[in-house]
Amino acid sequence: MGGRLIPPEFPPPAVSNARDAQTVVELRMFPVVDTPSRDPGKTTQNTYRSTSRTAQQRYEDFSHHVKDIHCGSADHLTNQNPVPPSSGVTCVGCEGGFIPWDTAAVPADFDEFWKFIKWWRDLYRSIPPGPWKKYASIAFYGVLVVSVIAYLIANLEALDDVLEELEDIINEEKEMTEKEFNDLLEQLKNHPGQKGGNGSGGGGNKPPAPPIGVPDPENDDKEWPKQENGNCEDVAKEIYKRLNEKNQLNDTGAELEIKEITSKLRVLGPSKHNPDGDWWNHYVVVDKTNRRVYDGTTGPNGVSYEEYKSWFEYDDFINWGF
Amino acid sequence: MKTDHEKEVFDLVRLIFRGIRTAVMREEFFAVVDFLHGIDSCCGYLDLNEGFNNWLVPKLGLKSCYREWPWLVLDLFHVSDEEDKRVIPGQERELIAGLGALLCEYIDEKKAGDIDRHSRNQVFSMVETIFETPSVFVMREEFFAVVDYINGIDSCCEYLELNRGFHDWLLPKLGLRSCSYAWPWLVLKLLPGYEADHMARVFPSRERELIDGLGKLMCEYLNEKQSNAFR
Repeated sequence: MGGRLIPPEFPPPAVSNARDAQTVVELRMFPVVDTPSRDPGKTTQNTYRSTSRTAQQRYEDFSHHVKDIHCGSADHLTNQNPVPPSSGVTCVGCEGGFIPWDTAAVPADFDEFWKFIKWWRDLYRSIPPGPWKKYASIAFYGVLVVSVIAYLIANLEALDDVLEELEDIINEEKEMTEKEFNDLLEQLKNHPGQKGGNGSGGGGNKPPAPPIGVPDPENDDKEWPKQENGNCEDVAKEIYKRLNEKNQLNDTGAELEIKEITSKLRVLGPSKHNPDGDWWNHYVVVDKTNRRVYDGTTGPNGVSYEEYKSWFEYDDFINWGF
Repeated sequence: MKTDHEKEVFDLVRLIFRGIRTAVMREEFFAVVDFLHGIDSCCGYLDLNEGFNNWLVPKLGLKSCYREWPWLVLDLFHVSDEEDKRVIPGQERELIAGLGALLCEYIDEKKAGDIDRHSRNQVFSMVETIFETPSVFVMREEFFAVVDYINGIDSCCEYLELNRGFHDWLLPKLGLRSCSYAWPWLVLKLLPGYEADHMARVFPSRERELIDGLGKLMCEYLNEKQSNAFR
């Protein structure tokens, strides 16, 4: 079994509209794992669930069981044409003009069984109070238990079929959800802080291109160029080459440029990665479109213009050029 | 009437005190003094040894004083230098800020100087002289003091081109195509056995050797530069 099923209520709960019925379906089909609500004030009924199948599709998945079990009216399956409640309890769907999930798990002769239980109950209620009623109650509950057990044994095969079908559906849903989750994870990796495109061009139906600085699987094994012994110009060239390749590959439209930053006086002064402050110049790659800076110390994600400048103690003594 | 270059130099001096670590190798009072002396030796606008000196004397309640202006500044801030022309490290920043405030005030009051900037040949010959008798020019006979002094000259005249020209001239000697470190570190790399610590100091016994080594490289560079200029 994919998830633990909550046994159906007996009798099925009264629900007032199709949306509630769908909620019942959802609550019972899946382990209750809520994703963050889009609307924080709302209750569980309105909790957003990331599933690929629509409520209508899920509803239709169950309908073939329902057709066999109940009156078979197509009207009861779609909620398009509600039927007034019938006088007898022949079809649960007739009561509200729709078929809730619980009824799907009820075998075909449930109506007969239910009729018998009600009749037995009414018979018991008709007995006037008295000392001998407790003997009647023993008989009543005994018959009730025996009939329920007999009913369950008689319908075990049918219940198994329904449960197997449910299991398949649940597994299918789970696989799809996992796939969706992986897709979402990938998307989040490529678009930190964004859900839709990256805002840097690439329109049409093309999938949104990731920012150029994000490592891709092809280059994951390559170590990010390391800055040492004043080799920042070579590092900047290597970074530019890599980013440019990715830029062309993903068609991000990012405008890249190698920039030399110099001191207005003698040296750049102390900075986060050069506390001695003995560089007189430095080379970086600038992504003008996304306003990000890359060098041997920023890593493949780069940093924003502002953050990069803040690394230098005397940032206003530097000719930045960006 | 102050010339454009004079204004540029004064603006430079104001700038130095706002970003001192981008100007001098060490955040030390006497390093700043060396840098300012370098500027002053290249163009006489600041007139530190006479004009600034005389401007400081009345502030100390004196009519005249035989001491040089750096010591007058120390006196004004009631700071005494130790034996080796060093002040207590904790006082360096405060003292530099005080010198900056005094110098900016002096510049604002100062009238246009009579002395104009030096010519290329004058600057080149002056730099060569520094390496012959460094103690005449710098406060302490140290490699980085000379560096600060020459950097002071370079910051207000375009002839030396230390950051681009000299820096790039040194690179092939080290077998490098580019390097972000400032030229003094390239010089140190080129002179085997010498390494500056993070305080930009070298072993005292080797200061003179380093200065000589720098002098040879600098003279070679200037000769090449001069010969190229005449071609």
